[in-house]
This record gives sequence, C-alpha cells and structure tokens, in this order.
Amino acid sequence: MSGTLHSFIQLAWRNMWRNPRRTLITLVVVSAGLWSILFFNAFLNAWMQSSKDATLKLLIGSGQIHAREYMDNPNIKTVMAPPGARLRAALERPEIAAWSARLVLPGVIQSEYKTRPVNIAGVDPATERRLSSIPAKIVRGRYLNGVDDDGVVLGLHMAKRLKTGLGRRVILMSQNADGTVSEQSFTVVGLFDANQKTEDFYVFTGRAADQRFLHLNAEISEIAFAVPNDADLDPVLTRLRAAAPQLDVRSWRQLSTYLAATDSMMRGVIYIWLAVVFSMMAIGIVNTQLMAVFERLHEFGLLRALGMTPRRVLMMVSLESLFLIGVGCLVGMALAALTIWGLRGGIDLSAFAKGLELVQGGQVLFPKFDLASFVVFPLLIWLLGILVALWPASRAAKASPVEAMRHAT
Amino acid sequence: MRKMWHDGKFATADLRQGQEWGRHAILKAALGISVLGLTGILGTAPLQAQTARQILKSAFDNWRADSSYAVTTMTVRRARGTRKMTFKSWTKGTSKALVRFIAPARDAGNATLQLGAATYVYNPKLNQVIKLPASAMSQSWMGSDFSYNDLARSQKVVDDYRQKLLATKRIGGRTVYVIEAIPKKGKPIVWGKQILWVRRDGVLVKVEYYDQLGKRVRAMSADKIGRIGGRPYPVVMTMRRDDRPGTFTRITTTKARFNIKIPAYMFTQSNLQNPRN
Amino acid sequence: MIAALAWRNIWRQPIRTALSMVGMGFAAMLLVFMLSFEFGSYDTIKTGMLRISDGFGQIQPKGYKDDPAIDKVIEEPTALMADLAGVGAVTASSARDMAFVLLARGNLSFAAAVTGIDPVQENRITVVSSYVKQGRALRAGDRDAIILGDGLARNLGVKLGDRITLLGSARDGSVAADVLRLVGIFKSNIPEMDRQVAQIPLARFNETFQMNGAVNTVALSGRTLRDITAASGRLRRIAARHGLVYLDWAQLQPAIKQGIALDLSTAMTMYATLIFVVVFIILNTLYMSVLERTREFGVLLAIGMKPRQIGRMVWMEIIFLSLVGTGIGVVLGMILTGWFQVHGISFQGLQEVYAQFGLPSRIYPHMTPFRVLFGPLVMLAAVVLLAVIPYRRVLGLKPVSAMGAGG
Repeated sequence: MSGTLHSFIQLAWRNMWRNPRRTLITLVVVSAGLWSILFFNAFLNAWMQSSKDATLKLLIGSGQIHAREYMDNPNIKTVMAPPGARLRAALERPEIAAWSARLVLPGVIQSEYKTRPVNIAGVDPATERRLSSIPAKIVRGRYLNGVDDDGVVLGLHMAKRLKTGLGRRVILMSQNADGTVSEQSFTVVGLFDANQKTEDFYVFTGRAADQRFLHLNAEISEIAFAVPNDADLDPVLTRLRAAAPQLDVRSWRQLSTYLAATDSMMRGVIYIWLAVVFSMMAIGIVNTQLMAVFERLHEFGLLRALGMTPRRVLMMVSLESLFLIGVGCLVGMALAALTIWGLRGGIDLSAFAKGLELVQGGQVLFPKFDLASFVVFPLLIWLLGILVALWPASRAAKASPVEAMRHAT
Repeated sequence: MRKMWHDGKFATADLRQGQEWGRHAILKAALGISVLGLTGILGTAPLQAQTARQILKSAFDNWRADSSYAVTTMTVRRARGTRKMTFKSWTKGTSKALVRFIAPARDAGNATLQLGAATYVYNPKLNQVIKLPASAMSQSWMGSDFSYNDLARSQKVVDDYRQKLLATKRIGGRTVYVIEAIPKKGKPIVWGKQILWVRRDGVLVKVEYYDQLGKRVRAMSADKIGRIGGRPYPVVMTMRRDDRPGTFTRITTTKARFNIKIPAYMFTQSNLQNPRN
Repeated sequence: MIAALAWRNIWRQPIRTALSMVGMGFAAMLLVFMLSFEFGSYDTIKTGMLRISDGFGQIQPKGYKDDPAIDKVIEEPTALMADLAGVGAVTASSARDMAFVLLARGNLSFAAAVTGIDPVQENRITVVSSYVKQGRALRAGDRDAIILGDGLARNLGVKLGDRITLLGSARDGSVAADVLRLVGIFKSNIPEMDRQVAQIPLARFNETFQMNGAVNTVALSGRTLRDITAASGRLRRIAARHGLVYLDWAQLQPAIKQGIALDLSTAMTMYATLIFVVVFIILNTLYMSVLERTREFGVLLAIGMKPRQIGRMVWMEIIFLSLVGTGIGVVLGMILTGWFQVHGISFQGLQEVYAQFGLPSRIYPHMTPFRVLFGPLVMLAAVVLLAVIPYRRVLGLKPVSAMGAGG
C-alpha cells in the first residue's frame, strides 16, 4: 500500500505542475487570502490596542494606587505616604515597564482675566516621560525639568480660556496641609496639546515644588503604573494588593469604566471584521478550488475510463489539494510574518489624519505576532481548501466515465 | 472705601496698628537712613522709589483706617439695566470687615463677614452662615465688578509691589502723583502692573489694572471727590472692565465715620447671623 | 454583436459563471454590511453619548457655549419651542437653566453646577433619570426637590430627605438663595458629573434665580440623530430668527467628532486593503477561467475572429459577470443588513457595562446610498479596469498554438 501511496504522491505532485498557471493562480489566491486574514488580525488588534493606549497613556496608565478614601474624595486629607520597601519591590518587577508617583489635588488657577477650577498635578518628569504621552505633546515652551521645577505646564485650551501664555504668571490656589489656603504664583513654562478634556482639567508642576506649595513633606496622592503586556495585568494587581493591603489598587478598567465599555465593544467589532475577512477569503479560495476542479472533470473521466477507481481519484485530488493549499498556506504565513515583522516599528496613520483634517498627532499602530492566529487560521483554510476540492471531485469520480468525459471545456 | 486723612503729611504717628505700624515705622526709618547714605552715590532714583512707596503706603494705610463705619450705595449697570443697593459697613484694621445690605428689600439682610483669610456670607432667606470655599473667592460680589477677593485684599499694592513714581501732574489745581506698581517677584499676584493716581492729600483718584502683556484689564476712578467724615474723600468711585464696555459698578459713600470704637462682638459669625444693631 | 456573444457565453458555462458571480456577490454583500455597520456603530456611540445630557442639538444664546453665564438667556422659550415643534424631526425639546452655585449643609460647602429642568421633557432627551441609584429622579409637580451626583452627596455628607442650602447669583446679579430637599442621588460613572452636578425643577430655578420666564438653553432630540442632522439647516434658521445660535452634535461634543474621524481614517485603510485583496483574488479566478478557454479561443481565431474582438468579448463577459454578481451581492447585502438594522447586533458582556451608562448595548448598522454602493462600486471598477490583464493575454494568442493547448 505504501508503494501505491508513494506513486500517488508522485502523481499528485506531477499533476500540480502539469498546468503551472492554474497551480500558480491557486497558490497566489490561497497565500493572498491567508496573508490578509493574518495581517488583518494583527492590524485590528494593534488598532484596538492603540485606541486604548492613546487614552491610557495620557494619565491613567495600566492602573493606579491610591489611599483608600482618595477616589471618593480627592483632597489633601486623603493623600498617602510614598511607597515603602515592600511596595517598591513589587513595583520594580519587570512586568511593570514604568511607574510614577504624583500629587494630584483639586485647586483653582487664576489669570488676569479668569479663574478656573483645575486639578493641580505635581509630577516627576523623569518617570512621567516613561509612563505618559503628555511630555511628548508639548507644543510651545518645554516640559518640566525636575521635581523641583516650579514652573507650570498648561493645556493649550486652558491657556486660551485664561487668556494667558508662555512666560506669564498664573496663580494656583489650593487647600494646604495646615487647613488654610495656599496661594502662589507659577510661571507658565510649557503648553501641551492633548485633548480638550485633559487640557481643561490638568495643570502640571514639579512634585517637590507642589509638596512645598501645599506644606506637605513627601506625601503623594497616587502611583500610576504601566504594564505593557495585557496578560500580566491581573497578576501584577494581585501582587501589588498583597504588598500594600491598606491601599486602593485599581486597574484601568475600574478607573475608566467608560473606556472599558468601549474596549469591549471594539473587541466585538473586531470579531465581526475578522469573520467578514475570513468569509471573503474563504469564498475566494473556495471559488478557485471549485473552478480548478470543474475544469478537470474531463480529465477525471479519462482517468476513470483508464481504470482508476473512484476512491483513487479522490485520493489523488486530496493529495493534490493537500500540497497545493498547504504550500499556499505556508507562503501566506511567511508573507504575513514578514509584513508584521517589517511593520513592527509602527504604522503611522498621521498621513491619513492630516488628509481628513483631523486630530493632532494621529495614531501609530504596532502590529504584533500572535501565535494562536498563525496556527488556527492556516489550519482552517487548509481543511477548507481540501474539503471544497473533494466535493465536485467526488461527484465526478462517482459519475460514469463517459459522462465525465463529456464535460469538455 | 474709607480713608484716614492727615493733613499733608506722610507720617502716620497716630496710627495704632501694632505690628503693621511697627514694621512700617522701622522700614521708614531704615529707608530714611539709606536715602541719606545713598543720595550722594545714586542721585535721585532711589529717592523717587522711596517717595512713591511712601505716597502709596500712606494712601493705603489711611484707606484701611484703624476702624470705620460707612453707609454706601452700590450701583451696578449691566446691559439689561441698573441695580442700586445700599449697605452699611464696619471695618477694623486690615483683616476684619462686616458688610450688611439694607436696601432694596430684596437684598436687605444679606451680609458678608471677612475675618482674616476667611470669608462668610449670610442670607436671611436661608438663615444660615456659609463659609466661602477658596474657589469661590474670585466670584463676583453681589453681582458687581468686584470679587470677594477685591474686598479682602486691598493692602497688597503697598506691600507686595515695587513702586515707582512715573510723573507728578497738576489736575484741577491739585498735585497728583502717578505711580507705577509692579508685583514683586514670587508674589501670588496675577496683574502685570497697576498704575495709581494719588492726590497729594492722600485721595486715591484712579487705579488701573494691567495684564502681563501691558493691556489694561480694568480701571477704578474717582468720579467725585468731596468731604466726608471730616476729610477729602472719593465720594463716588466707579469700577469698569475694559472687555465689558457699557457696564460698571459705582460706589457712592453717603456717610462715613473713621477711627471709631467698634465692639469686638461685631466681627463674629453669630453677629453676622443675628445683628444686634 | 460581441456583447450578445459575451452574454451568451456567460451562460454556456453555468458552473464557472456561478462561481465567479458568487465570489463577487459575496464580497459585495459583505462590503455593504461592513460599511453600514461601521457607520452604524458610530451613530450608536454618538447617540449614546449625546443622550447622557447634551441632547442631539441645542439652541443657545450667542456666546453661551464659550462662557456660560446665567444672564445669557433665551427670553421667549415658549415661542422658540413652539417653532421647534413644527420641525418634524424634533420629537422633544427641553428648556434648561444653569448656574454655578454653592451647595451647603452644616459646615460643608461645595461649588456645583445646578440645572433647572422640566422632568417630563428631560426624560425624552436624556437618560439621567436612569442613573438614579437612590431615591428617585425629579418628576412633574416637584417643588423644592433636588437630586445630586453621588460624589457631591458624599462630599456634603447628605442622605435622602436632608435639606440642602443653595447660594448663588441670580440673573440680575442679586443673591439667589434657597433650601431644597434631597430626593435622589444619581451615579453616572462620569466623575465630573457625579461630583459637580445637581438638578432642581425648572420652576423653582426660575423663581430663585429671578429668571422671569427666560431660560439659558433649549436641548432637543429626535427619533434618531440622523433625523436631527438632516434638519440642521431648518434648525439654524429657527435659531437665527430668535437671535440665537444652534449647536449641532459635533459642536456639543467635539471630542466625539475627533475620535470618530480618527477611527474612520484607520478603518478606511483597512477597507482599501480589503478591497485590494478581494479584487486580486477575483481577478485571479477570472484569469484562470480565461486560461481554461484557450482552446476555445483558438477555434474562434481559426474561424476568423480577430484577437481584439475576442479580447473585447472576454472583457464584456467580465463586465456582465461583475455587474450581475455585484448587483445580486448588493441586494443580498441590503437584505442582510436590513435585518440587523431592525434587530441590532448585541455583544455579550456589554449589557451590564453599557447599562451603567444608559448606553444601548445593541449596535444597529444603518444603510444609506453611499454606504451601500461605495464598497461594491469601488470593487466593480477595480475588477473591470484590471480585466485588461486577461484581455492582453487574449490578444497575444495565436490560432494553432491556442488550439493545441491542453485543457
């Protein structure tokens, strides 16, 4: 039997190359189809990640730690001490790419023309740069120099509302640790351009300068941390909670339930997209295979007339499809892997954004290699391709040779 | 605005301001010495600066007298129309003030108490005293062009600014000093500068507030100067914002007495709510 | 004549024809669905966000949006709302007053934004009443009721039934003071709303703040956002007639507009790539079928047909094939999308989360001529244009070699 199998394999292989164009076209269609499925999967996931990241990287991070009462009532009484040894150790683990301690308290900002309520954020620019995208969004002036920098960085929109600008003085007022109100003038050293909401609600200064302003020592209001790998987030949260049981550790999903909802919806949308793409590619492959087989009905009839059993005809077709689709899948996978690797530096969509007169600093997408999809999809396509070829082949194989031969092209 | 007026002199030996006076006196003495010492080296410039500051200081030292009582009408004009309110006010030193509205009926009974850094408001309909949070301090007082802040902090232009005498003019037969005041570095002041016109007899004729780019934001001017409580006084003062033409707030003082004895209970929250007079 | 030949040719090989048509038809169907779904999901998001408090559109005094002050008013709200009622697209309009006040209880006082609303009309425009977690929302007939966000309630340390003091500036600048009774606490999960917003009956606000029947804004709503958008011209004219301005959803929520636009640009990249790949695959299939007919063409050449005529015939076959296939696909796509347009697509796991925000948990694709035709037309155009490739192949055929070609 193995000898027969061997000869069948040879037959199948030679059959494939008897009609190089047809073979080539099928290969092209399968590999293009699989490439697009795998690429879209990576692209869509990168898109979802990027949308989420854009918001999270502004200020939220992957999660935050506060004193227990802070989230209900953010004020100077609900600040916390800087992280102790245990918490620090938990924060220094490799899964956490960056963390930043901040002092964020409500206050009031005043210019010559207007007074507005605002959150005053005292930050450490060095750690903020690794966690937040705001330092990179400075459009005029500069970001903060260090924790002692007592300049203030405002949003463009806030500056406009206050009718103030770079190099000018504004007054920040806030309740301090002594129970009175601290009032101090700060010079505007930089303007950032994020989104209107962030710009309207947050102003930044050096953390130590902020602590001095509010008569605090080293107290902070929160620690924000970034966990780049989604899978690591839950274990990280558990570890942090264990290291600081008296504090309130929350993931971004709890900090911004609205974002969490939108994220879930996007996930659903992605499934629909993938289903659609898969269906289109599948139909294309099915099409090609069917057409190929139908063209060969005459040939099958001939083989039957020469004495080949229906079963053997089927086996031959199966083996051919196995090879053909298999090779197509391999090529598709290789191309997809290559594309993803080639684009790992990020796809920058700002070109499109400009063209559509849009938001500043468009999105950059980072497609990632996902092993699961590289196993599941090729397998599905492969099976599909083989099954689809078998159906007309089995019909032709069972029909009488004469009828089959009548299917002249 | 109440002012203490002493004929022609800058010195304020009669003031019983305690620490404030002491500080000012020492400062004056120190400045006096330095003026004597520096005159030969630097010429007239430091002399002018010192003079400007002293002019202003005396005007404001006199402004927030030891104590005062006044009856004032405030007229607020807006696009929609004009409102007139009358109130009585008592002040003691620079940190205590009580204002109580007596007319019209709708506004009567509303009162504001300033105690140091804290400001309290009382409304008869609520029958409740509410402490103003810091964030509300820059809001308009009774719908006028003055904020609660304006009521509370009038001394800053002397202590927290650097003064320079710009010019000496003669207006209406009187000497008027034009003084430029620029906030000292690091002070929590948002103005770019103020320009003040002070008459030789200590009456504040005009104050202009400028933003940090040199554009004027608002101005307060004395529309009528007369005598009240035994001294020259800007009986009618008007505050106008440059970005809101056609609107103003006018303060007309109809009665005033200065350096009177005011009982301690006057400046308490309970008196705010239940006036004894 | 060539056209007739081309047409008959298509039907001579039903299986091959059917396969090609199914390929294109399926792709067209999915494109119709995808575009309608994409834009439909945007509509769902917009509608959801606008129903939180803004409404689908608002009429405001000039300059109110940038600098909301209580003395910027709409003097004759009844006349305005009567005019709005005349616009078919508008199903509800609600007048609102707003002021920044101090709310106090005992020693605690906090700054808040208090809105005066008409509960009956408001409920047809916003979902705030569904956010009320304790007590109840405002209702018609309320006199001195007030509802607060839960953050504000916590800060003031109040519970249902407590009396809350309100102090602010009336329309004419005089003091506005009032005492209200807490009847409900809402939780929107939007921190700014929960910590700073309170609602009282419009009539009460009118009295306390000396509004004299004037209001600050009028919000409106329709059956769908699209209806209102379509009527914006009329709404602007009505606003102008009253000396006011009309703000559409993009002006009320520019952040959403930016977000959607950015999303769309990414989506367009995807569609472009998708259509590219689909066309590529379809063309390959068509090319393959042309290759299979080499012998047939050889015969035609031998009997005297010119290569160019054969080429044109093949091109026309492709055109007919594509038109019919795409046409059927569009029709099927419209049926498929139409069904979902009525029933919506729900995502499990979304229900509870979205219910928190009062957002719909079903997404409804929505068809418009653009969304239905754009994708398929682009695909059609691409296929028809690129059919030049098989055309060129046919041109290069020689009779004898063609006839001798294998099947």
